[in-house]
Amino acid sequence: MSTLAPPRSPGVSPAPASQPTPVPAWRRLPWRSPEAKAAPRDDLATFCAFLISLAVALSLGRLFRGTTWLPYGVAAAVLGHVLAWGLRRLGAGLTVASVASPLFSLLVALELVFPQATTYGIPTPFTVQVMGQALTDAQSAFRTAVAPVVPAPGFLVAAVVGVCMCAFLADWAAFRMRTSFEACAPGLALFVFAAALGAKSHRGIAVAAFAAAALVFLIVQRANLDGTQTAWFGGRDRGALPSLLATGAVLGAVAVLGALVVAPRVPGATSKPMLSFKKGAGGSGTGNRSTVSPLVDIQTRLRQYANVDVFTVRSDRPAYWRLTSLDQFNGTIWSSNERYAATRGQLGRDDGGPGAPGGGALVQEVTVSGLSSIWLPGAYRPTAVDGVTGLSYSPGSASLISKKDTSNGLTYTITSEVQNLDPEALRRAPPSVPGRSGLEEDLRRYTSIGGEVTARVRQLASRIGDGQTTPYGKALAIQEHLRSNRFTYSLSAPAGHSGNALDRFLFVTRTGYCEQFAGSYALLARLMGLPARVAVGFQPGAQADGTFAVKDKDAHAWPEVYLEGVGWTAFEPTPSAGNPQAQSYTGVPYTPAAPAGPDSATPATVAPAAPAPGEATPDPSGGAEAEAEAQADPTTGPAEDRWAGLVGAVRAAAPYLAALAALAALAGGSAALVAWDRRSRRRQAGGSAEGRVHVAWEEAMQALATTGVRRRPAETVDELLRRLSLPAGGAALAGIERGTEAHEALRRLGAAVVQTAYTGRSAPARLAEAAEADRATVVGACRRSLRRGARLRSDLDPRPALARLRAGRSRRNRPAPLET
Amino acid sequence: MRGASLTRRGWTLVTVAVVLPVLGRVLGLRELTSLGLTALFLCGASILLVAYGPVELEAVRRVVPNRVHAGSPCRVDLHVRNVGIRRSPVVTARDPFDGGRRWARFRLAPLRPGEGCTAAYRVPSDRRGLFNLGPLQVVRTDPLGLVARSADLAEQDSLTVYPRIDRIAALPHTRGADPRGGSVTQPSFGPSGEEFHALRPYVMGDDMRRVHWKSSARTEDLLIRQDELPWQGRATVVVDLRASVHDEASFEAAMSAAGSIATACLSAGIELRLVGTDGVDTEHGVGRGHLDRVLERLAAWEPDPDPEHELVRTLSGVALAKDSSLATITTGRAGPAAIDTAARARRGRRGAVVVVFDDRLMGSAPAPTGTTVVRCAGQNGFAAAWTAAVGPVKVTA
Repeated sequence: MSTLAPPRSPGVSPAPASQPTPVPAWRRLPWRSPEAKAAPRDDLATFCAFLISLAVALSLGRLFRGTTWLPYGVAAAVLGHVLAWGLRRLGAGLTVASVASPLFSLLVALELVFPQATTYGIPTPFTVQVMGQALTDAQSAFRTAVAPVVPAPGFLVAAVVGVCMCAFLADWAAFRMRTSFEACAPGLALFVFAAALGAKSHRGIAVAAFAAAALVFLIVQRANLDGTQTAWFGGRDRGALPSLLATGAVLGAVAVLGALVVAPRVPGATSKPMLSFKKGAGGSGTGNRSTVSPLVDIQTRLRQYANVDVFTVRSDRPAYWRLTSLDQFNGTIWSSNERYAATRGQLGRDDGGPGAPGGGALVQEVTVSGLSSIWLPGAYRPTAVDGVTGLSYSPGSASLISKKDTSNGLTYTITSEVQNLDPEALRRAPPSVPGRSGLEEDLRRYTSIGGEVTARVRQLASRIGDGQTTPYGKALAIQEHLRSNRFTYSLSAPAGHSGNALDRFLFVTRTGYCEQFAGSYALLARLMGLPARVAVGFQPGAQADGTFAVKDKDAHAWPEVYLEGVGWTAFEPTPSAGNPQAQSYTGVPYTPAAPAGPDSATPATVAPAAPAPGEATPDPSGGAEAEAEAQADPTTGPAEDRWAGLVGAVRAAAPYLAALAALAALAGGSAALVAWDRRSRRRQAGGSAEGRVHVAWEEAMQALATTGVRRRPAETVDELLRRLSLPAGGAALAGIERGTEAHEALRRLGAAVVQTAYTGRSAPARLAEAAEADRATVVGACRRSLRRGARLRSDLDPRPALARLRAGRSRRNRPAPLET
Repeated sequence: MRGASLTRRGWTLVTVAVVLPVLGRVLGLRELTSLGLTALFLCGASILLVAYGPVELEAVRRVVPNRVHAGSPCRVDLHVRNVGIRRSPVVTARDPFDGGRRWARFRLAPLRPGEGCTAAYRVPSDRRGLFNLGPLQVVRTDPLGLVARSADLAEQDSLTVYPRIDRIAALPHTRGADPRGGSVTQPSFGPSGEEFHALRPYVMGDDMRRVHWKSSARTEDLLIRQDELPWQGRATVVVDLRASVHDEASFEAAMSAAGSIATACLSAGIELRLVGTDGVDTEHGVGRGHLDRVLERLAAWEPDPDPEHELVRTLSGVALAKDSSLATITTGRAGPAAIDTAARARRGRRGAVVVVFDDRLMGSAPAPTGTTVVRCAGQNGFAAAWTAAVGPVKVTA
C-alpha cells in the first residue's frame, strides 16, 4: 500500500516513502556517505551503462590502427565501471568517488600501457617520467596526426583515462543523479570525439553499436528509475522489463536500421563539410596536409605490431625502404615541413647532390598492405614511379605521398638510383660552407637546432669530432661512438627523442633503439656543423623468392648526412642494424633477416667492406635490428627464441600469477579448514549414536545458516521447527518449506536430537544413520536453494571453523573446576 | 482515449534529432547525422506505437470509508482488469486526489487477457474537507517515455473528511425550565417521563428499533417514532467564520472545536443547532443523521471573506430559547466588543460559553457572570481548556 505524496507540480511523480534499512556494522565506514545508495536493480543498469562505454571504447578504435587498442579499451571500460559500482556499493560519497576515480583511471592507464615501468602496478618516479615523455610525444604528434594512427603510448594513456572517466561520469549521472539521457552524454562526447578524428571506416557499425547500447541502457534505466520512484501496481512487476525491452528492441531496430539506410542518402551527406577541422583530410598535390611523424610510432610498430605485414617489395637487391626524412628539430621532436607537388612518373631532385655515383637503377615492385601511412616506401633516391596516380613528391626529402589517407592497397613500381659510394671519394668531400654548399639556402635548415641542448651534449659532440678533419670522418666518428659497447640496444627503453630524452640516452641510460640512436646521431652531427637529418623507413625484411616481406618489426630510423659533392649519405649508428647500400663506407655489415618460411633460401651475408686506414673503425659487430627486436618480443623471433619469450612473458605476468596463486592458496586453505572442521567434528562425536545425531544436527543448522535462516538465541528445537512450519518462517529461503521432503527430514532430525538429548538410554545406531540421511537431505535442499556463487562461498567460508577453533581454545583456557 | 503527444523528453529528443544532422552537415560528421536520424526515427516509431497501440483496460475504485474524521485512516482500492484480447502494455496509472493537487501513481505491469490486479493506497485524511478522487487516468508511453497518450478509466469518487473530534463534556445548563423543550404543542406527560411526540420520516442513522411499523406499512415509507423529552436540552453553536479573524490554524481549530461540541451534545441527547456567521443555520436537530449533517457542514466550511458578515449581528439574529445553551467560537482577533457581546448573549443567565482561540489578542477583561470563557492558545489545547473550564467528561457505566 502506498500513500499519496505531498503536493507537487503536476507531472512529477512522488517518491514513495521508504523504511530506513539498518546498515550492517562492516559498512559503517567513516567515509561512507549516507546518501550513497545502491539499489539491487542498479546492477543491471550498471551493466547496460558499461555497454555504452564499451561501444565508445570500440569506436575509439577508429582512431588507431589495428586491433591492439581493443584490450586496452575493453579493460578501461570494465575497470572504470567496476570501480564506480564498487564505490557505490560500499557507500562512498561523491567526494571520495571523485578523487578515487581519476586516480584509479590513471593507475589503470599506467599499468596497462607501461607495465614494465610500474612495480606491481604501483607507479614509481620512473613511471611518471616515462608517462610524461609519452604524453609530450603524443601532444606533439596529435597536432599533425591523421587517424588511424599507430597507438603510441601517449595516445593509449589518454584514451584509457578518457574511457575510465567516461565510465565514472556515466555512473555518477545514472546512479547518483538518477538520470537517464544525461548519463549517455559522456559517452556521446567521447563518441563524437572519435567520430571527428577517427577514420571513415566502420562508421555504420560504430553508430549502430553506440545507438543500440544507449537504447538498451535508456530502457533499463527508465524501468529502474520508475521502479524506484513509482510503486508497481499491486506490488507486481512481473513481465514489465521483458515487455519494455522487447518493445524497445523493435523500436530501436527500426530507428537504427532506418538511420543507417537513410543517412548516406540525406542531401549533402557526401559533400564536403562546411567547416573543415580534420587536418589533412582529403588533401593532395599542393594542398596543406599534415600527418604524424613516423618516428613517433616507431616503438609501437616494433613492439606491438612486430609480425604485422606492412608491404612487400619485389627487388633484386635489398635496401632500406625509406618513407621520408625529418629535417627539423625543435628540441622536442624531429619533424618535417616539406612541399609536395603532384607528380606523374618522373621525379625531380633538388638536394644539390651531383647524382648517384655508379650505383645504378634499382627497380622495385611494391605492394602496400598495412602500412597505414600516407608515404610510399621505396629505396633512396626515387627517380620514377609508375602504376599509381594521385601522388605527390617532395624533392627535398625524396619522399612520395598518396592523396588518400593511407597508402594501403597501393601497388606500384618505383625506380631508384642507389648509391655505391667509395670511402675515398667521401673523404675528399669538403665541409659545407654557406654560399658554396649544394644545399644553398637550405644548409641553415639542416644544421640548425631548436630548443635547448645541454652543455655536456655539446662537449660530447666536440670531443667526438676531435681529430677528425673531414665531414666523412666526423660522421664515422659519431657512428663509432654510438655503436660502441657503451650503448645497448633495447626496445624497453622509453619512447621519445626530445633534447632531454637524448641527453638521458647519451649520458644516463645509454639504452635505446633506433629512434634514440638516429636522433642522437643527427643532433651530434648538427652540433659538429654537418647537415644532417633523420630518415624513417624500414629495413629490407625477409627475402623469399626475390620478394622482401617487410613487417612492422622492420621499422627503422637512421641518420643521413649531407656530404658536399656526394649528396645525402646514410649512416647506421644503431647496433645490430646494417644498411645493405652503405656497407662500403660505414663498415657495418648487412645481415639478411631469416625468411618467414622453412623452404625459403637463406641469403648469404654480404661481406662488409674494409674501412680505410686512418679512419675511424666502424664496429663490425651487430646484425639486423629485427633480431634484436625479436629478442625484445619473443613472438617475432625464430623458434628457439620463443622459449625465451615465453619466460619473459611469464616473468611479466609474475605479479598477477602471484596474486592468483595467493587467491588459490587462500581458497585452498579455507577449503582445507572447512574439511578439517567437518572431520574434527565427526571425530569428536566419538562414533556414538548420540554424537553422530548431534553432529548431523549441527551440520544441518550450518547449512541452514548459509541460506540466511538461523536458529535464534534461546530458541528450542521445537520452537525452531514450529517457526519453520509457518509460511513466513523463512523455510522457503532454504528450500525446506512445509510439505517438502527436506522439511520432513529436518523435523525428523530435530526429533532425533531431542530424543538423544533427553532420554537417558543410549540411542540405537539406526537413529544415527537415519539422522545422517536426513542431514544429507536438508543440506542438499539448502545448497540447491543457493545461487552458484553463494554456494561456493558457503563451501569456502572458514568462519564456522574459526568460531569452533576459538570456542575450543576458550574452553581449554577456562580454569579447571575445583576438585572436591 | 486522448491523442498521443510528445512528452518533454520527446521534444528534447526531437530537438536533438534536428540539431545533430545540422551539426553533422556542418562538421562533416556523418555519425552525427546517423545519430540524429536514429533519434528522429525513434520518435516517429514511438508515436506510431503509442497512437495505435490499444489499451483495453477497465478499472473500479472503492473508497473505504468515504467519510472519515481527520486523522483516521482511509484507503482506496483500485482494481484494474485487461478486457482486451492481447497482453496489455506497461502503463502508468494516475489517480488524482483533491482536484489533482495530489495523486497516487503506479506502474502497471503487463496483464494477460482477462487478468486483473488490485492495488490499494492510503489517502491522506489529516485535514478536513470535501475531496474528489479520480478519474483514474492511465498513460501509455513508449519504453523511453518520449510519447504519451492518456485515458480515463474509473469515474470520480468523493471523500468527506470531518473535523478532528476531541472527547469533551457537553454544554452545561441546557435543561430545567423549559418543559416543552421549545415546542409549540403541549405534550401530555406520561409515566416514564418520555412522551410520544410525532412520526417523522426515517433518516440515515436512526435507530431501527424506533421504526413505527404499522404506520410505515400504511405509508409504504419508513416512519420513526419521535419522542419528545420534556426536559430535553438545547444548544446552539455559533461559529465565527470570518476570514478576517482567522488564520488557517485557528479556522481548523474552530471547526474541530465546533465538531467536538456538536458530537458531545448530540451524544448526550441535546438538540443542537449550528449557526455560522455566513448565514448558515442547521436548525435544531438530534440524532446521528443530524450529527452527520452538522459534521458535513463543518467539513465543507471555508473562511468567509464577506466583510459584511459580523459576529454580533449573527448573535443578535439567533433567537435563543431561554434555556438553550450557547457556545460561540471565535478568535481573539474578533475584538473585545464582539467577545463581550457573545458572553452577554444569555442576558445574565447561565449557559453561555465563549471559545476563543489566539486568546492573547482578546485582552484580560473578566467574563460576565454566568459566562464561561474557554481560552485556547491552539487547536491542541482546546480539549484541556474546555475540560478545565466546563468540566470533565461524565463517564456512565
